Amino acid sequence: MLLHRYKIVFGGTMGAGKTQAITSLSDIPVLTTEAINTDEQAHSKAMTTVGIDYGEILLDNETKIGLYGTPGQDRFDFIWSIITKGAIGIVVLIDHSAANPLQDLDFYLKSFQTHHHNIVIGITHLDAKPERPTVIYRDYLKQHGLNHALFFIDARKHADVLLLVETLVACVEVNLN
Amino acid sequence: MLQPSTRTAPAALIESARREIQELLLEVSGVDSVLLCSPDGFELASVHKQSKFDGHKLAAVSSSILAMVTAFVSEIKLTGCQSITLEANNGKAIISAVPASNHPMIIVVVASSHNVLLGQLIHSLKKHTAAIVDIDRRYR
Repeated sequence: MLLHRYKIVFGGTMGAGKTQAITSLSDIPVLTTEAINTDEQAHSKAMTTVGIDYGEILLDNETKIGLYGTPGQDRFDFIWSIITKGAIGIVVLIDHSAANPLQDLDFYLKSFQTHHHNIVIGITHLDAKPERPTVIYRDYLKQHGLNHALFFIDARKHADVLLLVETLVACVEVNLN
Repeated sequence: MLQPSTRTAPAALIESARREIQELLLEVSGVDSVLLCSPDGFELASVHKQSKFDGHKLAAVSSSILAMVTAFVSEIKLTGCQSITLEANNGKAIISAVPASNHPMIIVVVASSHNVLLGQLIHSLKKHTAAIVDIDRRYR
């Protein structure tokens, strides 16, 4: 019998792997709302999410998680406030290989902190910019007095994305207890 | 040097498409504004008689709505949905895909008049959509 149904939102940089993360994790075929990406200066990928992606994962026999993906571009910020209603938390994915990932992290944390305090951070595409140190993210969080969980992940790996989701659920359970 | 994007509609195509939506605006009584945008939510062109809106915001919202409705329609196993008609107390709006093979676009029509003839509007919209699709074939 299902006792808990939770909702988790994926936000963050365009091209960070939000749709991929949901696809990696979902037990059902993911409902995607992608359109041709005409902004090749922002990212070279062919398609980009413009609506809401949706997937589901059954964590155990008692917990089903709805996975909601959002568009990364700030012109779609009207969706963020709508979709985060009722969520137990937000996964913020940041593309490590982007021009300024710390600026991206700052922007998305500030944007999503207005909707929810339970946030985990996933840094992706580390292999695309190996020369950039990863300690910059920990330093940023320390400097800003933030204690969000921080992970370095591959959005294509089920186990990596599951770790983010389980962390959010654990944070909720700790707070409930 | 940056190569011109192949996915972004070229300026000449946008100008031709703008002329098409201008004709739509003029030939259908009651239409206030027509917006042309990319499928990923960028405003490409807009024409108005009155009530100018924030084209950037409307382009983003319109592309989201069309993508969401397309996903919904697919879930309920319907096919070929190209447009959405919204009827409010004080007017109507249509969000319609332009299924151009090289540079697909979206047309948004806003009519604040109750007197707009929906049949005439849809006919005109289809005619100009077909014209833009035709023009787009020159821009591979």
